[in-house]
Amino acid sequence: MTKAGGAALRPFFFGTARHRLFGLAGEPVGNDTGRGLLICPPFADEMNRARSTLRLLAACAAQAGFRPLLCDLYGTGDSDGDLADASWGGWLDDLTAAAAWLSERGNRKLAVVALRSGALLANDLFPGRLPRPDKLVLWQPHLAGKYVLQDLLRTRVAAAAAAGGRESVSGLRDQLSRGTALEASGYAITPSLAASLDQAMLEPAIASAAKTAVWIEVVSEPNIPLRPAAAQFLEHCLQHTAPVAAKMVVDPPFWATTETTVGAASVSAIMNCLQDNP
Amino acid sequence: MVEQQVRSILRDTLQLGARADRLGPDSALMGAIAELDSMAVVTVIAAIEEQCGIVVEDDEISAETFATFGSLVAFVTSKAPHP
Repeated sequence: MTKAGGAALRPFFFGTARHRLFGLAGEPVGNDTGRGLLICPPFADEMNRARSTLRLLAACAAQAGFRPLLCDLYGTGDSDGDLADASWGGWLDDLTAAAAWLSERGNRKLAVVALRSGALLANDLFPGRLPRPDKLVLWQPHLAGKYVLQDLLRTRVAAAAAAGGRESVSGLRDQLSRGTALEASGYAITPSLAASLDQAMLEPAIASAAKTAVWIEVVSEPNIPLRPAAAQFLEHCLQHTAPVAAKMVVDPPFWATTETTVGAASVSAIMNCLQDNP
Repeated sequence: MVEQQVRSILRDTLQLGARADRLGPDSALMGAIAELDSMAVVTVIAAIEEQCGIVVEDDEISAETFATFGSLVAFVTSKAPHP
C-alpha cells in the first residue's frame, strides 16, 4: 500500500496471463461517486519524472470518492513485456483494458486525465474506442508525437556528443526509416513505434470527445501566457469543434525536472475540475 | 521578455532557485552549472521550443549556444518570431 497525501493506493496486476499490466488503484473513500478515473500516462523519462505527481493525483481522487487507476503500459514500468515489443496500438488496447477494469467495478461514469504524451493516446481513444467520458483533462499535453520522438533522439545525440561521438537526429531518423531499431537513453525505439509517434497528433475533435474538456497549462509564474502552439490549438478548437477551458497553474515542470518535483498545484486544480459538476 | 522566459526555464527545469536570479549576460552556463549536463540541455531546449514557439535545429545545439546566459538569450531572440 502506498499513501501519498490522500487515500491509500493498491498495487496489482490486471490483463491476461501473458500480458499482465501493473496498476495502482484506489478504493473510493466515503461517498463512492461511482466515477472511475483513468490516467493516461506519459512516455519514457517524462513518466519516470511524473510518477510521484500521478500517484498524488490518484490518491487525492480516491479520497474524493473516485476509483482511480494508474497503469504502466505494456513494455514500460512494472508491466510485462519489453519496450521493443510494444506498439502504439497495443497501448491503446491497454488503456481500453484499464477502462474496462474500472467499468467492471461498477463505475458508471468515467473521467480521464491525460498527461503530456498520454494526451496523444487519449486523442486516439476518444471519441470512438471508449464510451464518452464525463470529464477529460488534458494536462500540459504534447501537441504532436514527433516532438516526443525528437526529444528522445536528442538525448541520444547529446549523450554521444558528451562521449566525444557525433550523431544527429536526422541521421537517427534515417536509421529508423530504413527499418533499424535503436536505443535512446535506455529506451528501445522500434521503427514502428517511431512511425506511430511521428503520426500522433492532438486533434480538435478531442475538444468534443467528453462532456467537458479542460486544459491544464503549467507555468512557472502567474501571468505567463499559454505556449504559442497551445493557444493556437485551443483557438482552432473554439472555431471548429468546441471550446476547451484553459486553466493556468503555477507548478514546477515536474515531468521535466532532473530532481523529482511534484505538481501539487496542478493536482489540486485537476481535482477541482473533476469535482465540478456542470 | 525572452530573457525572462529563458531565466525561468533554467530556474524551473534545473531547479536553480535563487541562483537563476543572479544570472547575468556573462554568466557561464555549460561547465559552470553542474545541473546542466548533456541530458539537461535536451530538456532545456525542449522547454524553450515549447514555451517560446521556436524550432531548434540539430546543429544549433552546441556548446557555443549554451556558453553563457547571454549567448543563450541571444540565440533564442534570433529564433523568436518577430511580430
